[in-house]
Amino acid sequence: MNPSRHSPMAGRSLHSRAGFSLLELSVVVAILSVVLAVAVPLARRLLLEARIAAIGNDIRVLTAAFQTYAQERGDWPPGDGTPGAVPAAMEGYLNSATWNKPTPFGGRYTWDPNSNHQGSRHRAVILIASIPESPVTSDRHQLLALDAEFDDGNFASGQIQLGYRNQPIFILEH
Amino acid sequence: MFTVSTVNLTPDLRTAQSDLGTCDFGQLDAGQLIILLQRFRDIDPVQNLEADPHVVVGGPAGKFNVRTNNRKLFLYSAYDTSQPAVELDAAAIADAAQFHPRPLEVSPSASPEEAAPRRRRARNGAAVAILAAGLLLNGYTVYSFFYIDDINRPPPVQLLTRESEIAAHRQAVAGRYFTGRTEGDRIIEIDPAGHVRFLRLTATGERLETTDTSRIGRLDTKLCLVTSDNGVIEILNIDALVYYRDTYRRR
Repeated sequence: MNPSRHSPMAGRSLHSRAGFSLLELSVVVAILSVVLAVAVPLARRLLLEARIAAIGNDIRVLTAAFQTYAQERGDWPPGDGTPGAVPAAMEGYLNSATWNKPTPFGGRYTWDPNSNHQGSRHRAVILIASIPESPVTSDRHQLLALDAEFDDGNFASGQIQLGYRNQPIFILEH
Repeated sequence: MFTVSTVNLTPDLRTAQSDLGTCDFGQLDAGQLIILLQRFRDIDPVQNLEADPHVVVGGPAGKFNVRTNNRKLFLYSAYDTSQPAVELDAAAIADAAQFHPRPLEVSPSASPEEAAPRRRRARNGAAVAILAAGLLLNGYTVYSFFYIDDINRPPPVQLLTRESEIAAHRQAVAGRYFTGRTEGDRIIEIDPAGHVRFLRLTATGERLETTDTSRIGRLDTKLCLVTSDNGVIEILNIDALVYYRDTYRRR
């Protein structure tokens, strides 16, 4: 009945102080969880923004090259839609390193003139085409973010649309 | 008035020794009792631990033992030592001995003996709840990181199972289908075994893009071909297919 037996000094042996308590561990896990819950979506968003910026930059450079060709020759260069293949007529206009590298969304840039995409025929299109070793993302959120950044945010209209097999296309001429 | 005595305490209540025995203070009023208990509260903790000193207080409400620990006062029944102790200040102890007929019938959580395990259980419960919440949050974070709203998610197709029906439809759908006949148009070629070839018309002829296999099913009420890797080809009628919103016609 002596309350002193329940004093903090008497109640806590060295053994009980040897590690973290469950409560301390739980609080640490909870804090880390909250930090992760904030950091992971933020990191994902930053990553997506970086990809969109990179793809936007590529498209600007590539579009300028094709438009330069068209102005000088009076028509778009021929092409057969082979993924990653530099159109033969574009030698000297295109930086093949930019053209051949995997796009930030996967797949390869593909020159696809006079082609059908989801019920419409377009005269000049840059398609991001899947290849077996590098499929194009099919994440609606990412594709919509790309469309919203450079176009109208609608897959069915504007310059950026979903094309053959839901691969994104950049329409240079409808 | 209270009848007060001390056990194992010097009369000035400054020192505790296990061999001091009982010291009778006689009748004290509430003020004197409070001063005495406040002095008792400040006793040396080591001596307190070794000598188990306590103050015995008799009043209209009964007889009580008062012990101290960590500068707190604990009131015990002198008659029933199984009763839990109650932590009270000096004035409250005087009140309890004066008026309260059953001062020890308070929440058992006040008992130092029982409070510790109860607190430990409560702390463990809280820890488990916090841990579970943290892990759930982690799970959601991982799920949201890997979650993809896939634009190519296959539609709910009911595959056909009757061999005779499958064979008949395969035979009927076999053939070559075109979006057009000019450069840039696309071709789907289906054979009776269900193999599918995707081709494209180029300036030099036809270029094979991919090959795949297919099974026949129904999408709503329409027949369709479900390919392994290239989505669903809807069969519009005996002469027309729809593939990613492009219409292909048999030639």
